[in-house]
Formats: sequence, structure tokens, C-alpha cells
Amino acid sequence: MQPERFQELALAIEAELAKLIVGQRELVRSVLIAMIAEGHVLLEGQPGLGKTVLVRSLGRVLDLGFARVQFTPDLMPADVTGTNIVTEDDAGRRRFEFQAGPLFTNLLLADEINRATPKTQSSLLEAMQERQVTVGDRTRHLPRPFFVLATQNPIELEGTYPLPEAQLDRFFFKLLVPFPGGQELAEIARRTTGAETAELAPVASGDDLASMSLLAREVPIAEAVMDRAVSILLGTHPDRVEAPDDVRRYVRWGASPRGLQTLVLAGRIRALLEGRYNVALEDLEAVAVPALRHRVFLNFEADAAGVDTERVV
Amino acid sequence: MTPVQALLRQVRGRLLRDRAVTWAANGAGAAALLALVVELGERRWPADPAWPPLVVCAGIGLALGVAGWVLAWPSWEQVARLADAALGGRERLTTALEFAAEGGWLYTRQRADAAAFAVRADPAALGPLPLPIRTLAVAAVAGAAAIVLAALPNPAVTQLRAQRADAAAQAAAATQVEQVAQRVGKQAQPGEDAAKRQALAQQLQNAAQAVRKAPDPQSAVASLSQAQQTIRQLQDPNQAAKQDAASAAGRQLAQDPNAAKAGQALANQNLAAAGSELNSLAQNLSKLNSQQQQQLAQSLAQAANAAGGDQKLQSSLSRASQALQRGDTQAAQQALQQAAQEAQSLNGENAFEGDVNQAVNGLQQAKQPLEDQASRDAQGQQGQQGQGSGQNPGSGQNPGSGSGQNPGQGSGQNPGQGAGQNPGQGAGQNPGQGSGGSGATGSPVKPAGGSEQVYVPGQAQDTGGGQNQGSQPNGANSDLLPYDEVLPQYTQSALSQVDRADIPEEQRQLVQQYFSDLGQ
Repeated sequence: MQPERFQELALAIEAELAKLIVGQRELVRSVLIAMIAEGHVLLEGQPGLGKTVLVRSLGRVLDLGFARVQFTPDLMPADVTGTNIVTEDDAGRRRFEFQAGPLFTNLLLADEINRATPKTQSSLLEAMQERQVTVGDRTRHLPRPFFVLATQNPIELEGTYPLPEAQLDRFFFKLLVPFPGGQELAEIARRTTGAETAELAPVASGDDLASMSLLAREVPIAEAVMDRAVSILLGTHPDRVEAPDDVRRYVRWGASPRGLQTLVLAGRIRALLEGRYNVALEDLEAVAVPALRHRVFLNFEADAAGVDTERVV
Repeated sequence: MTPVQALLRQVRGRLLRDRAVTWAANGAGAAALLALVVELGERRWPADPAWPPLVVCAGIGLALGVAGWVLAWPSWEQVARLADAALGGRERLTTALEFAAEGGWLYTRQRADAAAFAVRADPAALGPLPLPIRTLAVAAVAGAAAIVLAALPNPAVTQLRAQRADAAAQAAAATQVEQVAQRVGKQAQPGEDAAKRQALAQQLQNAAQAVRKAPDPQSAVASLSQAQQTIRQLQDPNQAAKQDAASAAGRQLAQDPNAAKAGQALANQNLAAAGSELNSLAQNLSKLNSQQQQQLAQSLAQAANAAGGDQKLQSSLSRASQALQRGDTQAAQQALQQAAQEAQSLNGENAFEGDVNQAVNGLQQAKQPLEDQASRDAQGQQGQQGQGSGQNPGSGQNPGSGSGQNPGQGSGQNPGQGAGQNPGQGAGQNPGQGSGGSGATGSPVKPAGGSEQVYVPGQAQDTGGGQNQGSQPNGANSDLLPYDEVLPQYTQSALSQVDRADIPEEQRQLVQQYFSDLGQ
């Protein structure tokens, strides 16, 4: 794939999504970066901000299989991954047959993921990292591409199970869905209450995303820029000399090496999206917050002082 | 050259100029601060001349500036990063430089993108050369302060120069005294006391050492004054009386035709000739007839009577007279030979007296530059301290010491100004020679003031009796002597001074005639 085609596809995806998604350009751009990187995204925002619509629209625009799982406390792992059930053939012989769960799709919307129990949440671990599911004694590969776009509601804390650090680390980006402005709200009202409903057409495929990902991984990155990425990551560790005072004071654990991988890969993709053939420092700075905010864990003093990861990162 | 390389060269040139300005300012600041520190330090630890440390400061500043600039020479990677940051290259130049030799179509695309950026980039966007205002301000303030300090008088340097001048003056004075000592040591005359001459030379050597070791010119002057007093004590206080006796005896002998030459030589204080003539007379006694011997005996008796001031001479002349009256020419001959020896001895003593006077004068001449230096020191202290405390106020080193030679002129160094702790408590043999002691808080008067006496022939014969007359530090001339008492001493000394081979005989006679006229 040529860089021009890369940009053309990205712009086409964004333009198609813009038919249904009002505003949220940065959010859409970030989700697109994560999907090109074949990464999973954790979306956090109030209900009704279009998280589900965004994910469903992505499925349509990218011509990908789409499934949605509403996570609830009584959701069982088998409800997500699938299970073996007893079936009977025409000859009357009974046998176990695997009934695939909603995980076997290209684009999985894990809605309100923090409402499920840790046991159910952990059932996603293997799927997100290995892109495979093991049920019983058999491992089954998930279709490619495979993305998990999970949402969580920051308001309702009762009856929720915060995601464990290991699972948070599997998400490429954690994106905050901002509340739309006045003009955007008016536009949302116009589009959703009128007689016509925008129809989205597929403009790219899963193969296109794979090609885009391959191209992005070839974008050169200078040593100085790489050093900067490393410096940013080490700066989140309170025991490192690179750490600023706020990190030393408020951070319990810094970001894992996956954070560095995310920084660099996201930077490469952003560079191509910006029409450049090299990673710039501003690319790293632009993706640093979504890439690291869920990988930095604050201590009690930060909670007491009302400091969040945004400020620390 | 690719557009990227061309742009980087331009940026590097600009960067080098930036850093040159920065390091020049750093060097200037360092030099100015060092100069300020040096100037402040020289207020406590003076250096003379003061410019070498300042030159070192400037050198350090220059070295720092050059070294800093060279060490800060940017690599191409640094240049590329700075160019990206300053011109908005978004690391295009950095990446292109790093992967300049990398194959692959995406790298080629990247280099082309960087080249396109380099073509449209405007180095003028780097802006004017930034001046390190803060550093320059520090350099200017420190430099101005250093210049002000350098322009202001430095008391420590003044003091250092004064100390050096003191040391130089003392060394010169010591050398001068040593030369006097050497000269005096070589002028031994027959008939004089060798031990006294050795003591004279030793005293002069001691004085030279004391001057060299003296803490200041004032002390050196005091040492020399003390040495003058000590040296004068080597003189025979009865020398003038002996000379007078010899003259008187000579005048009596001159009336005898056979002893006329010896008598005239004695009368004229030509004692060397007198000794020879007396010996000659002794050898010729046997050739005289009895009438001549009796006439000579009578003249010798009169001469003996006149030579009361010199017992030896009187005794010899008397014994010669008595022997001749008895007709014992051999005894008379021996007595006259003893008289001749006494004349020779008197002649040697005269020469030694002259040398003592020369030594005293030499010490006096050596004192003069020291006094001048001490005066300058005192003026310098006055300039610095205003009503400061003087050293040795009212010391009166030789107050009234001129008894016998310049009666009433011995005013001492600081007449009447003694306000020291022990004003005028000296107890020297020479009246008023006691030093007044070092006054602690006396008024800062000009010491010495050139009032030291130059001792010409006619030494004080301790006429003050050494009765602690130095208790009057103002040198009151309480020891005035009659004119006729000091004239013989002057006469003797003057004649001994001119009794040298290099002075023509007629001029010696002229001096002799002058004093003879005064005596009449």
C-alpha cells in the first residue's frame, strides 16, 4: 500500500463516520489509529454520547462483522466465548458441538464492561492478547481482524468491578468521550429526529486495515524520537530519574513496555495520517495521553489530592 | 549537496555564531567576576604591579570562552534536531539525516519529503542572534565594579610599596655603612691603638646588620644614631688637651735654635714630622756643646711646663731637660726618643679620631635617605589616617648631643614634641642622647626633620658629663662651652683631616694658618 492510499482510506473512513457521528473528530481519529494498529480501545464516557453508535458505525464502514455484548454482573464467560453443547445428528448420535459466542466476530462491542464480574472480564484476556479462545481442551482462533471496543461508565460506581491492571494493559488506547458542544448537540438533534437516517457504506475492509498496519510499521523513526518515547515512558515510573515531581509523588506504578509499543506504533500511524513519512515528537505527544492514561496507576495520595492520570501523563 | 545538507550547513553556521556570542559572554562574565575577586583579594593580599593577575583573569575568560565554544561545537544530528525545532520540520531533517543511506521506498519518500521541506524552509525564521542579556549584565556589573576598585587607591598596595621602599632604603644604607666599615678598617696608622680601630670597624659592621634587620627606617635611624654614639665613645676625651699640650710645648721648643724644627712641627700639630725631628734631635744631642745643651735643657723644661695636658709628653720632656742639665746625654737621648714616640702616638690617635669622625659622618649620610623614607612613610600614614599615631614621638635621638662642637645646636630629631611614654629618658654619656622611647599615642610629627648634626672636627669631650641631660628631649643646649675650649679640638681635627698626601702642602699650611689666627 502506498502512503497516499493510506491517507485516502483514512479520510474516507472518517468522512463516512462523520455522516452519523457529530463532532468527536479527535475521538474518531484516535479510534481509527487504534484499529489500524490492530489494538483494542476502552471508551469511557457518560451514557448517550454515541459510543455504541460509533462502534457499530465502524463495523459498517469497515465492512466487518460486528457483535455487541452488554456486560452485566450475571454474565458468564461462556456467554462471551461460547460453549460446547450436546447435539444430535440425523442418525440419532449425540455429540458435543461448539457453539461460538459473540467473541467470534471482527468487532466486538463490550458495553459497560466494568459491570461484569472479574471472572467474565478475564475471559476476554486471551481473546484480546492472543486473539484466540480456549474452551475445554480446544483452542479456536478468532477471525482477523479482531477488535474489542469496550465502554465503561464512570458515573455509576455501585455494582461495578474495576478492570484489573493486566486487562487494562491490553487496551491500546483508553479514550474519553467528551460531551458535545452546543452546536454539535443541535446537529445531533437534527440528524436523529428527522425523517431521513444516514446510511453508511463500507469504504474499507479488514484487509485494508491490515495493509495499513503493515505500512505504518515501516515508517522510520529517528533515534532522537525513539529516545523521547522511552523518556516519556520512563518518566511515568516514580523510581526513575526521569520522573518529574508529580510522578514521584502520586504514581504507584508506571506504564508497562506495552505503553512504549503503543506510543511508537500510534506515532507512526499518526505521522502517516498527517502526511508525513517519519515520526515526529508531536506525534508522540499527541498519542501519549490515550496510550498511557490507563497504564499509569496512582496512589492514595493522588486520590486524596484529586489528581488524575491525565495530569500526571 | 542535497537541499537538506545545504539547509543544515546554514543552520550550523548560525548555531556556531549563537554559541560564539554565548561563550564570549560567558568568558567575559567569568573574566569580569574573576577580576572583581582579584581586586577584592588585593585589598587584603596586595600584588604590585596589579596588572598581571588581571591579565591572567582575562586569559582565563578568553580560554573559557574559546574552550566552551569549541566543546559546544554541534554535531550534525544536533543541528538537524535544532533546525527541526526552530523551523517546524517535525523531525523530517533529523530522520532524513539519520537514514540518509537507508534503502527502501518509504525511506526514499521520507528523504524527498525532507528535501522538499528544506527547499521551502527559510533560515531567516531562526530570527536575530539572541544576546545573553543576563550574562552580559553580570559581566558589565562585575567589570565596572572591578574597574572602580582598580581605580580607587589601594591602601594595601600603598603599604606594600612603602615596605619595599623601606627595605630598599635600609639595604642601601646598610651597604653604605659596610663600605664605610671597610674603608675605615684599611686606614690603620702607625702609633694608633689597633684594638680601637678593630672595635670601630666592628661597630660599623654591627650597625650595618642592625639597619638591615630593622623593622622600619625609623628603627634603622635609631640604630645608626646609637651606633654613632657608641663610635664616638671610642674617641679619647683628652685628645684635645694632649694636642694643646703638644702645641704649647712646641711653641716653647721653637725658641731654641737646635729644637726649632721639632718645636715648630709640634706647634703646627705636624706630629709625624715632630716625632722625626725629636728623634733627630735625640741623635744629635752628643754633637751639641755644653752651652747648647744647657740652653736646650732650659727650653725643654719650659716645654715640659707648657705640656701639662699630656703627662707622657710632659714627663719625657722633663726627663730630657733634667738629663741634659746633668750632662747625661744618653738619658736625655732616651727621653727625647720617648717624646718622639708620644708625638707619633698622638699623631696616630689624631688619625683615628679623624676616621671616627669620618665614620660618624658616613653613618649620618646613611641616615639621611632613611629619614627621608621614614618621613614619606609618616606622610603616607597621615594621608591615610589623618590624625594617626606617630612612631617614637618626641624621641629626640640626639638631643643636645652637639656639646663641644656646636654648642646650643643639638636640638635632636623632634625637639619639644615628645609626647611619648618615656620622653627623653635617655642616659647616654653624651648629653641629651637618650631616645625618648616609643610613644604609644604621640602626635604624628615629622621625625628627624633633618636636624641631625653633621659632626665636623671638634668632638664633644663628654662635656655634658653624661649626667642624664638627655632628660630634656627638646635638646636644650645646657652644655654650652666657651669658644676657646673647643677651638683646639677643631684645630686638631681640621689639621688631621688635611694631613693627607693628596692635599698640597701650601693648602695645609693655609688651614694651619687659619686656626693659628683664630687662636690668637
